[in-house]
Amino acid sequence: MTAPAAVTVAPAWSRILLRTGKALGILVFCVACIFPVYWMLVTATLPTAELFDRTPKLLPDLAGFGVFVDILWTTPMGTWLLNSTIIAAGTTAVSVAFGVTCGYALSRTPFRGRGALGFALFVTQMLPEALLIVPLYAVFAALGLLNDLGGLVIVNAAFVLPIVTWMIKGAVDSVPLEIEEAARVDGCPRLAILRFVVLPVIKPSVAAAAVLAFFAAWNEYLFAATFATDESIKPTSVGLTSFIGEYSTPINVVMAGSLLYALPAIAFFMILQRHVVSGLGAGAVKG
Amino acid sequence: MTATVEAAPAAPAPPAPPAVRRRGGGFGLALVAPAVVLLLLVQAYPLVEGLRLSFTNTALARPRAGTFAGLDNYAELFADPRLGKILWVTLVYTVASVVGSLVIGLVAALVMNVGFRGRGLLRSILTVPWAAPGVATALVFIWMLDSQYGVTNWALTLLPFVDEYQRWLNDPSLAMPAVVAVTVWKVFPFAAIALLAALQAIPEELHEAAKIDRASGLNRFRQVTMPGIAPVVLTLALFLTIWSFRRFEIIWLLTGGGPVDATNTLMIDLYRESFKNRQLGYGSAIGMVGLVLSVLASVVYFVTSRRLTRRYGGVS
Amino acid sequence: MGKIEIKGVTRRFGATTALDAVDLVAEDGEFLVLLGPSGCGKSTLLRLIAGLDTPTDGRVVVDGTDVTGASPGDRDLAVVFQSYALYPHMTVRRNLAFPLLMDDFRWWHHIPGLGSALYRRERTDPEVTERVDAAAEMLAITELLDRHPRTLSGGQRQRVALGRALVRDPVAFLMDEPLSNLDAKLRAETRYEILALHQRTGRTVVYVTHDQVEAMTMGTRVVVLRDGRIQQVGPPGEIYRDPANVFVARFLGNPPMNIGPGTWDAAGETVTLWGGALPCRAADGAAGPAGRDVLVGLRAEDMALVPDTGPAVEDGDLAGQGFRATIELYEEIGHETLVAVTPLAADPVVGVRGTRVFVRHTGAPLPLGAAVRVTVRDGARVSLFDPASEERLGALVGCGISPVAGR
Repeated sequence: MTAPAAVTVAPAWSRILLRTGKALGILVFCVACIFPVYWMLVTATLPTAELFDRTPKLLPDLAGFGVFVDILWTTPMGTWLLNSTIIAAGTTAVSVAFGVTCGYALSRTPFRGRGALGFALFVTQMLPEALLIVPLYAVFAALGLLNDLGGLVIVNAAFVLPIVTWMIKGAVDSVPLEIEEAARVDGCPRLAILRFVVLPVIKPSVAAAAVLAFFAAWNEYLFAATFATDESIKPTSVGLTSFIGEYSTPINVVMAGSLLYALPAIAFFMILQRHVVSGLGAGAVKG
Repeated sequence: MTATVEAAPAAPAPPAPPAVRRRGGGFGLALVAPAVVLLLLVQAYPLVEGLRLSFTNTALARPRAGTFAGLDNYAELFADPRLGKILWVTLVYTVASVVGSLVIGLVAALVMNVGFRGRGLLRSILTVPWAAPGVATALVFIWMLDSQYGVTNWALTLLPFVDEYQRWLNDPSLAMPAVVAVTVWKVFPFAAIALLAALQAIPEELHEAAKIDRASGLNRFRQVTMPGIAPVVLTLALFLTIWSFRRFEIIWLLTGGGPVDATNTLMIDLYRESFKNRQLGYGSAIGMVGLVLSVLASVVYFVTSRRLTRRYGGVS
Repeated sequence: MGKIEIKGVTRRFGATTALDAVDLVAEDGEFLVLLGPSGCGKSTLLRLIAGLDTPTDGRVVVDGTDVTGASPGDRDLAVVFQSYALYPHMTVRRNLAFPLLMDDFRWWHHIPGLGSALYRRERTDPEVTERVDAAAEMLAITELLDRHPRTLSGGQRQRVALGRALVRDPVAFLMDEPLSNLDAKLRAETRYEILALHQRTGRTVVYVTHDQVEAMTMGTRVVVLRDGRIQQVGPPGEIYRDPANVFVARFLGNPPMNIGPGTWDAAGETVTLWGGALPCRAADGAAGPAGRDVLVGLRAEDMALVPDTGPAVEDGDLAGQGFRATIELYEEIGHETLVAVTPLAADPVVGVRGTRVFVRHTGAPLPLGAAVRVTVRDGARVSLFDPASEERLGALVGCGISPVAGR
């Protein structure tokens, strides 16, 4: 520290430029992310005639919000949403129940084939649904699970299970072993340790995994489209796509349906993004 | 849970915590049993069955009546001049969407890594595309990319040098860029948030030490930031690639593989062969090719990550 | 009740042997300290007693019952963990009540929605509330009962952990370095807390620590472990005074016992150490082997130093006594001064150079670098060890200068 090093202070204007650039970048990302969802809203509320103007209207029409109610009467949207909810809830229950026990076992108990199971969970990420769906179709046809909400629950649960398991395993890994040992000394049976000691401690991760599982099933399209051909058990994803290439339903109704369908997923992930993404990221990064 | 695993001898399990080392083998198995059964039923069995089907001439109409056809499906597939096109389309789609997501994700992560008010809000906003259901995404983009009334065309004509409306999803030369763009829109937030986590895990001291050593901004990025996030970039690239191979609904709903097979990836072709042309055996053979490609990508990943770990001394 | 017997217990982890055929008895009501450096097997031994681990070989017997294969919950032992291991999602009251509530655990508590029935007795069962309240009062944590562990300080958490052990009224308490996460002041306070708890309950305590001060001040008996083997068992004073081998001698005491190569001349009643003669006589019955090479061990307080005025020492008492040394550094501890000296007579074979000998000095301060003579005090305990096996051979009594009053 003899002679002061040549300190270069960025000139004010360049710093302002940098800041403006950064703000502009942030703005671009925000707009890019939100615009399609915003456009659903705008389109949904505009009267049909105005949708085909040369110059599109960029603001929603406050008078047009009735469409979100009307759609429940004019389309089977209500049934679809109900089916989606049932499938997603079932998927969540099954995948979280199985994922918690499996993830806990992977983290804490030794058994033959533990390493193999961990590897297998990774391998499932490579299996294309489109490949498995062909034999699955045959299996489900044989078991009478086609056109059955339970069948969709089983498929969705199996596909989200590896990620749920991985998130739970990561969470259990960070629970101090001594707490479980204390519970053993206190006379807590092994399964009760999982239920009454570990599970409450990892509750945030379980909630994140549950949200992930719920919306994985809520958003799922391929299996539903292939297995649910019956109108009465179609979930929203399949129902909405029946509008594609069909011109009798006005586009504003389609967009209203899409928005109603997308909003719960978006809202939940926005609220819980920190938990969900970090849990998922930890799983992904650990590979 | 897959054929691979069933065949493999039990890999040496990592050392168990001593507390539960010597009992609980049965307990552990009981805990994993439900998950294992579910995965066997829905993942492993169909995989094996898919492999078997690929050697038969099974048709959708009579799924039990297929007979053994040897390598016929594979022979037909590799003789099909369309295969080259399909693989090329798959490759272009995968590389473009993975690179696009990584680059844009990295830019977003770097922007967010600089502290500013409302960063949490931006993170939340970034999750919107990722959280939005694929079907809703496809529907709104079909509408936005509509050749006559789509907002995209209108917005582009506001630019000084554009005055022509494009048929984004119906023009063979534009369909792929459009599909890639929608994919990147949906996928880059995941990359951004994972990369942001990696950036924030780099100790601030490293940056400060580099500053004291008078490294330029670009040098700091190359010497400090890059090695810090390299493992995450690599893992992300692997997962994005695998997911890209598997991706179905967005392409299917936007273009159905068209126009003129311009977006006909392996998975789209597999589905069309199986459920439109009703050739389950042939479709399964295509799926196996896709699976092999996924496995190859993973092998490349593990080799690269080992080399990377050696060079940077196990950053992750 | 409360007698714990370890019979020939061996524990291997793969190729490493953590415990090697250990035999040990903790008598009912005693405070037994397991002491040793990290990795010596003391925690493993505690975990085997608790049932958190099972031995590769050997048996654990509590009150005459073989519990080797029994689960931890069936042993009626309480464990206090180093990290306290409080249940973070439960209030302090529930943490304390948990072991009592588990007595009534039923399988249907697993059914979602019915789990809370497990905690029903927490406030309604008078036995539970009385025992929890009593334990809380004894540890002065009554005001903390409705708080969660994360809102407590380290010392408070420690008390809750003790409380959870206390509530069960077990036959013995097992404590695994319970003070090591506390700061120095709190550590001293909690030490007395634990001692008081031991005296009030009269239960056996097995206490693991690597801190010799804790071992010396708390234990009725101390077990010194090294590499999975017991080195010595005995009351702290005995282990300090008559260490069983060089390892124990060096491990216990601050500063550690000074040990150097020498000989014991029984006829001439002198021990030769670092080129100096130290007058000694055989201690009661425990005469060391005469005329052979030994390792001589001397505690700092068993030695004295005087200025070295030349070859002819004028002080009659000290004629020809002691080895010559120079003063290397001072360390003030309260009213006493610890002096490190370097013996001058470098034995080329043993290589004394660099050897540091600690002497507790109570006289007038001497300048650094001053030449001194170091000898034994009268009545000092002089330990002799075998140079090859480093095992204890016997002890002598020093006949050097008179002890200074107050020592």
